[in-house]
Amino acid sequence: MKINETEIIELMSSEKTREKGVRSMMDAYQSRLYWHIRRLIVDHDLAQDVLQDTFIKAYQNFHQFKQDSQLYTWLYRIATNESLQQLNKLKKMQKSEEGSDYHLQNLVAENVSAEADEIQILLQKAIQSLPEKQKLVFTLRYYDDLPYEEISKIVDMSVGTLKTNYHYAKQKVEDYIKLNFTG
Amino acid sequence: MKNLDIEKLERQNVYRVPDHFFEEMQLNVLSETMPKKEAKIVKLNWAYSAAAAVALLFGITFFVNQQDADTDSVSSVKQIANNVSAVATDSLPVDNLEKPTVVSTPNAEQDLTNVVATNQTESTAPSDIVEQKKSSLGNQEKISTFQNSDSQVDQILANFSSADLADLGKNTEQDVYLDLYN
Repeated sequence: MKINETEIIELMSSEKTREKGVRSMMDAYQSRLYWHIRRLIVDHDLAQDVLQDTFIKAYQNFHQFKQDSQLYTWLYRIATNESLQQLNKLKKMQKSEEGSDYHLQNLVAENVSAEADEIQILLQKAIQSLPEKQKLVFTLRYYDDLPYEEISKIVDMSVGTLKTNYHYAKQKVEDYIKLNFTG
Repeated sequence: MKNLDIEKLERQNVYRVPDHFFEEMQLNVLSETMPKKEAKIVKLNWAYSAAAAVALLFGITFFVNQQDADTDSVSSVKQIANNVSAVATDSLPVDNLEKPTVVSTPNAEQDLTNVVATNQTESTAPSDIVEQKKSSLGNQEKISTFQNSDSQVDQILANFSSADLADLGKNTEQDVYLDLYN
């Protein structure tokens, strides 16, 4: 039985039903959040850590959740911030943004399944070549199909800026695939 | 590849994911977020602990003292019983001492414990019956000596205060036959 967002919020709000609320929240959003995180940081173990931290922080800070936005938007925001923190750590380890991009593109090659198409692999590598903000906007719009208004709440950018960023990101991705596709 | 439009591509998740990953992740999250159900630990107040210890100490002391008092009273009862029997034997004639008589008190005929002994003596030889008759003749003399012994017992009992007698009364076993036949 699928549980809706309002019911999850009600369960999370009461101390007696909070455990059930956390379970319901994870059942409802774990897959979408995991794939959002995974597309940003590629590595599974890191993605698992970030996903766990996302739910733990959501549980710990649930009292701060303002119900003027949707629960999944709030969860996406936490997951995105946690992922960006991981990417910043990676940049510090690689000592440069180019170095971290190169590292992530190599990780894509290591992590893709054997059945994946060349074009799909190139698409993932192209995403890793994008600047941080464009990467965020592109994945949230292209894969999660979120409206610009919701993305705006997640990444703190205006809808106009988001549209511009998405346009540039899409162009770069297509150019990357055209350049690297061997067919 | 010149006319590539990524919007037309299928959205695929191309990365490998371990089996049962989400179950494991949920367990990890719940172990971090849900408080562990433990038995409630009641913290002892030092004042209550001290009070309980003092009460226990007093309780043990009182119990030990009570035991000593009981043994004293039992020994005093035994002493009185010895005195009484000593007085009784002193006053008895010598011929009665030679054979164990069944009559020790003026109410002995009413004592059921002596009936058995009397019945046993009835089954003895005729010479014993003669002896018994002789002894019954001497009973008249014994009664007078018992009266003397009674006065001595009264004298001993007079030495006890009423509190001592009450204690003795408490500590002696109740004779059920006494209640039945008195």
